[in-house]
Amino acid sequence: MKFKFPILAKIAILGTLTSVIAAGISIWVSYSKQVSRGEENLLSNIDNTLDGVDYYFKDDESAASNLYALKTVTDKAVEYYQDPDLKNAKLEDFQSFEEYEEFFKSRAVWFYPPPNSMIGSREYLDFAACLRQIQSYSVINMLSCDAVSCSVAKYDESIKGYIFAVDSRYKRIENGKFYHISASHYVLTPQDKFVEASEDTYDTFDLAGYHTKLTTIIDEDGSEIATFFIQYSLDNLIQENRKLLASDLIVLTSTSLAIIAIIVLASYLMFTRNIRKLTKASTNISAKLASNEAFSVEWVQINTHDEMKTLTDAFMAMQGQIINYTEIIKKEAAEKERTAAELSVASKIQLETLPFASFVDNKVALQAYITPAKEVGGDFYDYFYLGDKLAVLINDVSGKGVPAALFMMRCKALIKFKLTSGLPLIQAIKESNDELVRNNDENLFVTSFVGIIDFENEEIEYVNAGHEKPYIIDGKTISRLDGVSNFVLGGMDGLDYVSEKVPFKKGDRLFMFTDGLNESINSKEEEFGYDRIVSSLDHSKGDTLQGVIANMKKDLASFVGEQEPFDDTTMMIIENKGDFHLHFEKKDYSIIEEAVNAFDEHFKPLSKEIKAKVGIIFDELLNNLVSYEKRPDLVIDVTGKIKGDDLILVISSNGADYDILANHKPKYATTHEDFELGGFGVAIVKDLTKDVSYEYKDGHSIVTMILSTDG
Amino acid sequence: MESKIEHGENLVISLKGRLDTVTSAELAKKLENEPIDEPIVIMDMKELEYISSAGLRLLLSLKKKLSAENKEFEIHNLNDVCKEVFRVTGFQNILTVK
Repeated sequence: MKFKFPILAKIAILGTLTSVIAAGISIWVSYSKQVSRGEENLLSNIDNTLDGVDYYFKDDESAASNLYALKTVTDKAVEYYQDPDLKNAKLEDFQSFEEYEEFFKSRAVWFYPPPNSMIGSREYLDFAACLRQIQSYSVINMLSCDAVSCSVAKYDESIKGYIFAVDSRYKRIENGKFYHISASHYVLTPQDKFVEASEDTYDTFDLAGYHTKLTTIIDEDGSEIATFFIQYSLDNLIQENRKLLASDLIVLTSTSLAIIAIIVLASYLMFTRNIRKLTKASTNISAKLASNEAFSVEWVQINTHDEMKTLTDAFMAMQGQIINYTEIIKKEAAEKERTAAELSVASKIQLETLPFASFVDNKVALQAYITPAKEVGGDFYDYFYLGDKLAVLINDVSGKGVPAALFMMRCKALIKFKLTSGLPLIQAIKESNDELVRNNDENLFVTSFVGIIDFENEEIEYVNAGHEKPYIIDGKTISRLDGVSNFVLGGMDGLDYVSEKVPFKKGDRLFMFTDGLNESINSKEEEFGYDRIVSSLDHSKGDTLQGVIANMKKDLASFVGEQEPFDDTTMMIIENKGDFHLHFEKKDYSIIEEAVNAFDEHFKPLSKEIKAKVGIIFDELLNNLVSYEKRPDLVIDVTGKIKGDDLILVISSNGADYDILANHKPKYATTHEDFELGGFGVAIVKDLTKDVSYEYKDGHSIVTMILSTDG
Repeated sequence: MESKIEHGENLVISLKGRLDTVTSAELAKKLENEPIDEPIVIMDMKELEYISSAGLRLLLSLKKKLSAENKEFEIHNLNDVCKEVFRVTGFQNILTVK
């Protein structure tokens, strides 16, 4: 598993930040400490040095050997001090300062000559510079050169500085301040603290780049004999400090880093140990969930009592909830699946309650379309015979889904029941409406178009209850059934409905639809609308009914494009085929094929077998008429209609009154030699029909035949 | 009606459509000019929709002609309507129907 910013990195970054801050603080602290520590180091060296000096003066004979040079200096100083001439010499006693100076020069050790090895060395030069600084300091302070009293000098290797002594006669204390008196009584270095100075007390004053300490040397009598200045370079101090600081820093930093690393690693292991446990448990759970495997609670043992413990407790509780919810979801899913399966079956059942989408008989051809159902819906079409009349309906129940579907089933059964019970159309609709209003707390309603096609009178009586107005397509025009729009069914009881009648002649078509068609919208929110319906109908005028519906669907689909269908769309188109009637005014064998083909076309749904029988009958009888009838102006009429399960065929002509059925009896033979033809046609006709009769009426010779259509 | 005549071991005449007044005459004409050398003539009526008495007339004359030449004439694959026509007219007795 990859983390973009793992905890380890966070801890490490935090640790590093903390350590940087800590290091900064320690550096600062240690720096200040180190400074004084470096100084202390030096001072303790000086102390040691001066202790040696003290010792020397106190115990006279036993000078520290390593302080040879200093001893020589102090020897000189003591000697100088003890010279009575010098001791008693006063400036006032001299003619001039130069004289005074000369006097001292002649007596005092001016400079203690450094060891030969030192001459020209950097240390010597430093010392000389230091001394000159003291001198120049005096000069700057309007002193005559006080260097006469600096009869000193020793370079001390251990402190990398110079020790020089000044005769205490040139020192005094005035007003609580220490003065080092030069020959001209000028102040050299006022030092407040030095007032209380004792043999082991010293203080500092600095001169450019040098640090100076003083101490007082006393003789056996306790009298001050000299003041020692110990001077060392600040550079040394700084360098010393830096060395210490650097080594300390290295130690400090590496220790810190080691500790940080240990802490980081330890905390990483400590934190992630529990996290790893949780991760493992979570992975197990999700694997089980993914594989749809049943799982029980994954126990995670956490011994710490911290946030991880809280998290783990929450995790354990969550597992329990997941198990519960998974169970619930499984149940719900099963329930949902069951419901979906039921809905799917329901939708199938609902569709099955609708009659076939295609229907053709000798009177009418019909093609319906209903949106392929994913779920149950509220649209429906229906058609059924009421005696010789055909009822055609299209309905759209308000709302969607199961409520609409149930209401639709109710409407469908109810309207059909009312119509088939023999009520006049408007009465049937009125009663259906009243019935629908009753027990309709959901206030569902249905828009309905119910038409009764009267083939006898070639008209449709219809009631439009708030439904989209259908179109009538005759040979030339497309017109809307613009009659009274009644109130919807199921909305309010006690209403009277008004019906209208329109002609519906042979070849006329009635196109009905639900608002799912005209209200379908495209991506621009435009409706398909009535104009497009009319235009589509106009384009498919010459097509078959299937062609008209297919064309409408295609136009709708190309208009709507990618848009999700908003509503169910239902359409139905019905054509009045009229009666089967052929009229021939020619005496020609070609009428046989014409008649057979016309019959096949008109009675398309009939079986091949019936069609074959009719073909034989036409061939026998029409052949007979054309062959034997003597009239040159022969007129033949052929009609056919279905009545119940029977097909009734009538062939009439203006020929002679000749009962073909009576006069021909077939003569059966057993071999072809004695086989005679004649009368077989009639025998076949009689055999193929259920009933055949002849009559001569109003100058017409008429053969009527009844064939069973159910095989 | 369509007819297909295939020479071979036997002569096979396959009929498709209707064998009625008009088409029988057409077929008769066609067969008149057809040399028949095979010993057996088979009329396959598998795709024949129906046969009327005019068609029967053709079959009878063909049967007579072939018998005179000592040739066999067989009718194959009659549908139900044709079988019925053969039955009612007694043609099933005088023609070899298979």
